[in-house]
Amino acid sequence: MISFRHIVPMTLCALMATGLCVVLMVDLSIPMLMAFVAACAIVAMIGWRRVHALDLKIALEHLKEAGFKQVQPDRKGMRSDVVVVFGGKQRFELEAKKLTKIVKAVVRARTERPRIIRPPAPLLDAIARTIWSDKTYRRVFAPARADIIFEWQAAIVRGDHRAARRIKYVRGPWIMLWTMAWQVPWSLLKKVVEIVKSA
Amino acid sequence: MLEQLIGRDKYGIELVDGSQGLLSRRSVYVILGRMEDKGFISGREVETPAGESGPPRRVYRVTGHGQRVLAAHEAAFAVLRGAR
Repeated sequence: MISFRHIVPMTLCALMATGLCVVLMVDLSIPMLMAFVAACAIVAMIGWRRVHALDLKIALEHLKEAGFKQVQPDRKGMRSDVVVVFGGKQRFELEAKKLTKIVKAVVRARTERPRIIRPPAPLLDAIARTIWSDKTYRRVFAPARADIIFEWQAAIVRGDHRAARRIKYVRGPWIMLWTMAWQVPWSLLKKVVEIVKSA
Repeated sequence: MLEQLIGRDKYGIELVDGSQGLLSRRSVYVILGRMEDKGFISGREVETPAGESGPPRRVYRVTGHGQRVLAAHEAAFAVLRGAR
């Protein structure tokens, strides 16, 4: 995606290309070419500083939104480009590179979508809901899953993420599978198989 | 299971925890469903408390018929123990 940060260098490149075409078409002498190259270098340096200033301004805006407070934007007497204060106490002297890294991390954290965390055994729940009647699902499978979800959430709340993962991926599906197995009318199925075999 | 439910209403997971290993999470819900069909216990759904999330959980309580069945079972068991 093209952002505002890319417009300045792109504009400069376009102007330089246009200038080169004009020089080539009008006059191809060496002095003219050297003058053109020098002009491009000057414009590039001015543009680079302008982009750097824009980057710094955007970076400071992001930091302000994240709770940092700008103290000094200039570099007089310091090696750093900017000094930021966070929370009123911590003071950081940062170079532009570190500032860029921090801003990138802040922007990434702010734009990252929250993961949707599904409760345990959603597929088995859907299968149980499809195969068995509403009454059976409400009486047998819904309480089983509700208790599994309760246990899983309790593990997350107390910070035991290993247990929460174990409940979600192992214990929960295991309980649901066995509940489904217990609910199958095996004796009836056996009778049906016997009748089919005898017929 | 009926003995545990006489004291107070319980969830399925609490019945398993209080059974000292006699009940299993794999079969308890099916057994509770069958006991409910026979009228030994009654179950009701409890809404999730405010501030918590998750589907409503089912809590069970013993019925009068279930208490009579338990008393009859205990009487029969006492006779069997005495007969030995």
